[in-house]
Amino acid sequence: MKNKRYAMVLDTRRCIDCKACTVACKAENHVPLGRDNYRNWVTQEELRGSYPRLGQSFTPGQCMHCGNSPCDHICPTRATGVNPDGIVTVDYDKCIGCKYCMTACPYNARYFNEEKGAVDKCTFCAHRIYGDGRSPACAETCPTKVRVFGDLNDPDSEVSRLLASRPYRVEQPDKGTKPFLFYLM
Amino acid sequence: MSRQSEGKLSRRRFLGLSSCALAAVAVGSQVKVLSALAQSGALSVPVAQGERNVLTSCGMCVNKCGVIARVKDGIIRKLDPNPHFIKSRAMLCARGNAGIKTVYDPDRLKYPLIRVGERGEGKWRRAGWEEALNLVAGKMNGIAETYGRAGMMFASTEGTFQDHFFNQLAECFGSPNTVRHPSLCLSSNIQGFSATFGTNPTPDVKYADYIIMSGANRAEAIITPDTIDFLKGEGGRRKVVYLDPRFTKTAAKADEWYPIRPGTDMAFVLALIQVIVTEELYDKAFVSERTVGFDKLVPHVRQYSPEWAEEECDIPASDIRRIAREFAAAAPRAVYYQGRRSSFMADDTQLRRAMAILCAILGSWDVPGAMVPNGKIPLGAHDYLPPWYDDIPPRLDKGGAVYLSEKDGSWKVFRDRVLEGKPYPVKGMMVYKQNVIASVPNRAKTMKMLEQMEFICTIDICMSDMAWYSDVVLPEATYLERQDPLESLAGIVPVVVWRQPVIEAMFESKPCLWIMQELARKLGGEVPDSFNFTMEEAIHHQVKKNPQILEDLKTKGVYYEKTEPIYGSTSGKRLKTKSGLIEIYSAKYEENGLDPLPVYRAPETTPANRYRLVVGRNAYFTHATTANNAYLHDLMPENSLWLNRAEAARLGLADGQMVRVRSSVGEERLRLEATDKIRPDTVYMAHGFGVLSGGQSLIRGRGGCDAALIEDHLEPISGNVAMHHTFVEVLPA
Amino acid sequence: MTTSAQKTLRLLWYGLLAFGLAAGLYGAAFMLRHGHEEAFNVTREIPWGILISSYEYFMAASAGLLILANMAHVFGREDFRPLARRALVLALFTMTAAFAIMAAEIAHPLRMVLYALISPNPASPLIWVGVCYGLYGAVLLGQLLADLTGRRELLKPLGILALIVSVAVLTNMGAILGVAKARPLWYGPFMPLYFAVSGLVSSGALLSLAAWFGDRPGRSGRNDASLNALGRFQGLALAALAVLMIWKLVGGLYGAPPGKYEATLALTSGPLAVNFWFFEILLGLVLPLGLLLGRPFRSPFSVMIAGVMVSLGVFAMRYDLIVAGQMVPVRRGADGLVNGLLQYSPSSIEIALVVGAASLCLLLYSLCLRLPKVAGRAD
Repeated sequence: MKNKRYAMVLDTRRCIDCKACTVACKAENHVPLGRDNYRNWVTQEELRGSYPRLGQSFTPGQCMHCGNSPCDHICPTRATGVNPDGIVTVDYDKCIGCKYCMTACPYNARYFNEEKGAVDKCTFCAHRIYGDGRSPACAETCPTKVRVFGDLNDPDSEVSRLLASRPYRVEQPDKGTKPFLFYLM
Repeated sequence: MSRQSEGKLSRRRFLGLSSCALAAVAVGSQVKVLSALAQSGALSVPVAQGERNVLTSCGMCVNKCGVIARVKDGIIRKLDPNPHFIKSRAMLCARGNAGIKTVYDPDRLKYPLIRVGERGEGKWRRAGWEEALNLVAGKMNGIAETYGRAGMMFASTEGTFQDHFFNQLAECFGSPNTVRHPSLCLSSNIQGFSATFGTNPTPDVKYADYIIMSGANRAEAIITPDTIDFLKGEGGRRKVVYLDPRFTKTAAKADEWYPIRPGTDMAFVLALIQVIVTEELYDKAFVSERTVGFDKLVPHVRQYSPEWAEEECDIPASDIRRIAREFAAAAPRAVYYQGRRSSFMADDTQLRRAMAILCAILGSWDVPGAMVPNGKIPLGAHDYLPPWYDDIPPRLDKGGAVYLSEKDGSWKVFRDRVLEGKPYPVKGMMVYKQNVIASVPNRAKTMKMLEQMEFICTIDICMSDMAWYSDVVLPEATYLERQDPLESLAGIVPVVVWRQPVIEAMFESKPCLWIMQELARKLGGEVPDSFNFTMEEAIHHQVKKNPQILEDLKTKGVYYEKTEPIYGSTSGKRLKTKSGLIEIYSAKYEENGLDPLPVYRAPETTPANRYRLVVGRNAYFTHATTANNAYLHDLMPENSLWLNRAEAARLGLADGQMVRVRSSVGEERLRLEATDKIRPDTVYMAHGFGVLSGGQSLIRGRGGCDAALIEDHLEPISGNVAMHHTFVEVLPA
Repeated sequence: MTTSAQKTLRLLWYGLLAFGLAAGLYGAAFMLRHGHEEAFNVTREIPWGILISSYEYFMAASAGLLILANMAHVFGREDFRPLARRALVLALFTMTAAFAIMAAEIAHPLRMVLYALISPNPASPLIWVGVCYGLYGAVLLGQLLADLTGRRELLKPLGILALIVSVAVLTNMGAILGVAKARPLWYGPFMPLYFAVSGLVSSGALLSLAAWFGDRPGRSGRNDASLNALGRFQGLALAALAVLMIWKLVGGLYGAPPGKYEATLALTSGPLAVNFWFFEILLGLVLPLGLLLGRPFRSPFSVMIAGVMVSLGVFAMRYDLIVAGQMVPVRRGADGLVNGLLQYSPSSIEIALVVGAASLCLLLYSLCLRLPKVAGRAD
């Protein structure tokens, strides 16, 4: 029985930038109020073309739960770690607030949570996955089902099937972080 | 209900909370919820009481998505989508998730408030319910004595499932003057389609192969399931053609976007019809069997060629012709998506008629992928007998539109007549939920109307602009704190929903029914007679014939009879039109002196150095009610004025600078957004900002108010306000 | 200079330092009361600001000072000997200032000590640098004590160790930035070298000031020879730094390497241009080089002036490097960009804390040097 390897596959064709994922995450994970405090986001890509021939895409994002994660490498106190299933975790008690991980993350996925006194980020709603097995709040709430979450080590999972059947890309592949958020093309 | 209120009374005595502090002085569960209010996002961890899941319906917008509320230790922690609710496709949008912050909003109304300063000063004193309701009843009876019972107006809007109790009070009080939101909304749509099909059908987006939308910004103005179904996905064949002067997020998702000249949609639709008629692409069998008046349509549309239309609406004739052919080829799985928004122009009803006619001649009716009439699951009615009053005059705005809804009226006509004082004075105002000041165009006129009201009482959950300018403010319990009666939602897949209290109503807020009953009692006379029932009894009446409904609601949160769309319900039956058929040619319009077939009239040209102001919204907010929600506020703290980049450069204005926007009825100040996403002759600002109320601390004064700028023109057939006739100047601030 | 004038100057000096210290304490109190978010201007996009750059400034200067102290003890440069003790003392107190700033910047300094000991991540450059600091502190204290207690025979062996740990400290500090692949301006092997040379340069500048003012009031000229020697050394170090700086610029501009290019432009023509051209280049390199390498200009006074300029220049250099490295957004569609760059400027509390730390360092140094035990043996 292989270990799980969690990942998320996103079909950005369907994203309408409604920010349901951002609010659901804030509510689910007690993210403090404030525009700078969020674990996930939707990027409004630059407008393509010029009036009246225009195009625009929307790209949701969050911690990429990298396979080669820079934050895991540089955290001095092991406050950030990586589970065997790929989820990059934060131990709030060990975080000293040096913010090295925030500097080292190429995705601006982390923020300093004043209420916890530690750096915080997306955890793939690990408390739900390890708890009652529900998918992350962002995936569950998305109106247009942009996000699909699952186990890549299961060849029959939807994420595996999507990656097999459709070409995909990742964010900033040149950084060598091996992100586990896959964007279908 | 008396048991409820007794319990609340004793708890109320214990609570010694001041009106603005969040001091945790209370006993019991109030401590936990108060600390939940005090902290920004992290909820405190009080004594363990276990967890509960409560099935209910969202109340943040019109969609009423199914919600599973997660409660722990007496505090609502999270709102999750109810997968049983088919219409929402098991989702909850940003506003649905943000519902928690509506309950735990430090700004929410907590106690009855009685004004002590001038209106709009924001000076209140806290009052008990007894005192407040006695005051309201006294004022209402006083106005009834001086001006007649029709001297009280009752403004409300939908959503709480309890607004009909408010209108019941109006009826039992003896006033015909209930004004509701549809004349600021989709009245003209309903009218235009009903005149054709006998009803306003729902486009079956999921199974449609071709969808044309005029300004129905579904990617941002969320209507379930259309917002979800119109997108491409696995196996999605549907093609979306989207007309809008703005490049909205829907434009970003559509297959084709045309920056149509505002107010010329009818030209486009008529040209489509012309091509289809001329090239005989229409469904001949359907037209002959199920419609009437096609023969009159043919000569009528001859003049509306694509070449002519190109001049009017700025869309190339070749594209119009091609779209017409594609649309016809896809029929009957082709819909002209009529949307739900307010009237663009003064001929809006006729525009919707044109859309309906287009669908009719292609046989896009009552089959998969077409315009499908709504079904509705019947519920027992809770009958009541309103008292009889002598000489109740007709409603104030009677005759103000050709087809005026008896319950909804026309806001524009009504307000004008209140200001005139004719045909009779209206001097008192009861408002339920509706944010009149921010929602009715021409805010200056609304303020004038308020000035000459002798008494204003608003029932709301937050200090909206309307509440801010009232004399008495009564706090309603939010949608997560109430037991609501059942509501049968009409649609292609009809459903029955309800709400249960997730937590007890906080502070001294009360559900609408309780307020109405108490008020009725204090009004005296025969008013209270019809209010002698409990919510449980009302619900019992609703499900008497079908108790399974209640069972399903308790276990699944929803009640369905069928989970697949119902097609073909009208075959072999008479439609609700005079002829019983689909009326392409409207004899009844002709009788009323209206165009029996839509006749195009060009909108007024934009004056030099002016821009046409168009209205709209986004997925983060619901109208003028949610911008102060802490979660949603973080997404967008203020609105901005969209101005075409080239135009901004021409005016010497920089992206991000403050500008003044001036129309003939008002001036607002907000930030400029110089963008390519809008026609050079048009400007836009999102609805719901420029708030006056000091009781909305996050957004007061931020951004600009579109209602303050929009002139109130009349759409004469439905009584709607036509909102796109306003031209503005843009100046540096 | 009369004794009363001396006294007045001294009073002014201590008064100034007391004021600076008070500002720092106020800043610390504000920060403790209102929290970091309200006190500091750092954001999630720019998490490191003037506190980090100032800490780097002081720590690198400290390591450089230890190297300079050992010019005499290890390399036998007698012209540096009069300054050696001064350099050791200043090294100790610049390190103190650096740690004082770090205590304010880190959210949980005590936790840091605990978990660095019981749960360290050996792959983290912060752990490497922490280990280096431990060794460095031990060696520095060892040398200082050896010097003060007259155990001269220990100075050379400790000095060799000191050179090794100082270089280790400087290069590891650079490595903190150098391993960050997310920050193209910093990434690569250049930062360790850059930190080493710039650390030496900043320490030379501080030592010049210490040497010149150490002879005041009542100028006796006893430090003049050392100042001249230091000036020559400083001039060479500056020349090396200038070479590094040139290639840093070329590397950032040539072929517009993504991320690095925009950051470099922020320095040369963007919001940091004044910092860069006036403070880093003119004050920090060009003018001092002229003063120090041009025969006619070099004098103890001009060495001191060069010291002032270079101190400002390197302080600006550290700030610019940290800020420019983060000004280019890593993610598309960021809010609040001005000409494509994120914005940061230090808050008054952050500035107060830096002023406080600097004042603390100078105060401790000044007081320490009045102790007869310390002052007696030196110049």
